[in-house]
Amino acid sequence: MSAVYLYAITDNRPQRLPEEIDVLTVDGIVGVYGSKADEELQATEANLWAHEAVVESLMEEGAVLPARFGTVLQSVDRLRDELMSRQEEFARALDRVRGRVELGVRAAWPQRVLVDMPAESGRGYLARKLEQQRAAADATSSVHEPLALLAVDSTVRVLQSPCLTLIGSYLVDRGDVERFRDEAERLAQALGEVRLACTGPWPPYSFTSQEEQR
Amino acid sequence: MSSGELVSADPSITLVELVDRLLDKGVVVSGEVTIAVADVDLIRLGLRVLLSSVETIEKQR
Repeated sequence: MSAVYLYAITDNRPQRLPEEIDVLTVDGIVGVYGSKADEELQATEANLWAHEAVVESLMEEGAVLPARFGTVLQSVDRLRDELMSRQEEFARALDRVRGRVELGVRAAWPQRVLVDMPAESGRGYLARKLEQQRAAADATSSVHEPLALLAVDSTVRVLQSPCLTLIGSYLVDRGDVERFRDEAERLAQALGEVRLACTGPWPPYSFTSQEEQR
Repeated sequence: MSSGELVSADPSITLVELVDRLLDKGVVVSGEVTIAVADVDLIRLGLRVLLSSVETIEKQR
């Protein structure tokens, strides 16, 4: 018995598979796996893209739940147990992402001059905190909210350093990808000094379970 | 690049987005599973790329 490396869970036994990749089907849920040498489990740029390439090829043939990079199970039997015990959960999650892709958005604001009070003082700290909260709320309403309207689901977080940055993930119907990109383009132009990047389509990494974003 | 344009093809941003997704998202299988320890250097690289892409953004302005 040897360890298996999990690439993804899908609902469709893929027709075209690279030689070193195998599938296990349990009740309509398909685990796509292979084996990896230790050095292939190092999170290098090349290894990450290799994982991504397999997942992307699966997306052409069915709904896909990508596995986190580096997921290794002890044996095919373990994978079977996992697929069996979580069959309903995976089926629901696959239904949710079917026909949809993930788009990523990063928006970076120019450095703002934060409240000019020493952060060490109690009042300075509070003023700074308030300003950060306001900036995050502005970022969310100006970038995230209009984009979320075009998505089935979304997640967002806002970083305050090294500059105000909004990182959003959007689950979008395939047919709406262009519309989403156009809206991102429109926002980038409307917001001027905000640098906005839209990447994807990605496999739905951020939408593999119901719990994550609730 | 002038301001107000959508940055979509920047490879460093794409790499950050890839790292974010593959190491932090995706299906996690429970039970007797080994999640291979992510290479610390790459995570550092990822952060550096993130920072440098922000710097590039600043310079472009």
